[in-house]
Amino acid sequence: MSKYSEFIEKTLESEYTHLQCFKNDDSIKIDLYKHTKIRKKLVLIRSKNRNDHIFRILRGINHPNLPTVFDVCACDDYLMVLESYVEGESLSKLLQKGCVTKKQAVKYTIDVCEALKTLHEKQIIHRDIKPENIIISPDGKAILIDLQAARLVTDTDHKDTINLGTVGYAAPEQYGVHQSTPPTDIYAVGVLLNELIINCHPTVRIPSGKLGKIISKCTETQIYNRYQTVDKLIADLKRYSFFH
Amino acid sequence: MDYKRTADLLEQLKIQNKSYESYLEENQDSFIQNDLKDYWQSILSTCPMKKTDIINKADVGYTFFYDIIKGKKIPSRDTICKIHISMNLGLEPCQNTLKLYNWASLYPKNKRDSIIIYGITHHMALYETDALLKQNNQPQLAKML
Repeated sequence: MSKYSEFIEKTLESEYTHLQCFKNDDSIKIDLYKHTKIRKKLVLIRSKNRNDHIFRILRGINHPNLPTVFDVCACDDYLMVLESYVEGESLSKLLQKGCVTKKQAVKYTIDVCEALKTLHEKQIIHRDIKPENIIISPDGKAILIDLQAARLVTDTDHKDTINLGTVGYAAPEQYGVHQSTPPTDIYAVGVLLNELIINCHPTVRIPSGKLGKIISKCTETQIYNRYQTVDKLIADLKRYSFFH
Repeated sequence: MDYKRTADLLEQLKIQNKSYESYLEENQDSFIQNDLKDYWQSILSTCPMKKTDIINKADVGYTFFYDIIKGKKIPSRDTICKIHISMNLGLEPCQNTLKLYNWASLYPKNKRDSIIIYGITHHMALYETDALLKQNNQPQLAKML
């Protein structure tokens, strides 16, 4: 254990109440804590994934569509990340309940793109965009969580090829030897939007009209035919949203 | 490792009636090792901290740090300073590491460098050094603030 991780564990023990364990498997453990006095919740992630450099870049950044990373601690066997707890329901659960309108789908996709804009500006690729990793807050905002698969554009770690994202949402280049770039995330956004609108993968069917064109452009097999940046995608989605 | 000060070594080199072989014999341990992995091993052996503590205090990536000390990756000038600030071994080892990687030594007449030198010689933590850099409108090392 490092000194700092000992400090974190002791602080959690003395000043926080453990509320829930969200996940506990070989590679990751996610626990929810609540401060005993100020009642603020935080999430402690213990992960065997050594991408602490991603969380160090994001530490302290407040973004309405991303959880705030409070701190990062490297330990001998795992990485510890302390981040804000995102209240709300996962988009996957809302989809199952059939509670997402077309207007909301576009709005949530724009929110996810705003989160990606910040990540991409810092050369971070999320690589695992899917409804399970999007939380809809009580005030209707979409928040992109789970950066365990995230990598820097410049990362050359060979383990990069092990985390492929999620089947269906992973862009074609994630199955090969190409590096993940912003269009990789944009592909997943296109798949996401299609699933939200017509509940199927773009390879099966795409909606007609302007939204279909946007989804097509997101999910082009050739990277250079896709949107190259989320800025243009956001602009097209907002234009669509304005007129519909 | 018997590490002598650069100024002392320079004085010894200037001694007129001393052979280079005797200089070499007396000061072998003071040479910067060209093998990066061995160099880091020798530096880390003088640091009482655990590697994970160095990583957390220096605010560098875990994998990146290990790649540096194995000689697989070349750190930037700022990364070298961050690691040395966290190791708290003093200014000379930091300057030696910078020279080893062909980075310019910390220069007291450069304002930013002078703050980093101040941080190292006054045993400041990285966040304290960054606070002083920010206070003086200089780019921070780790952008912790």
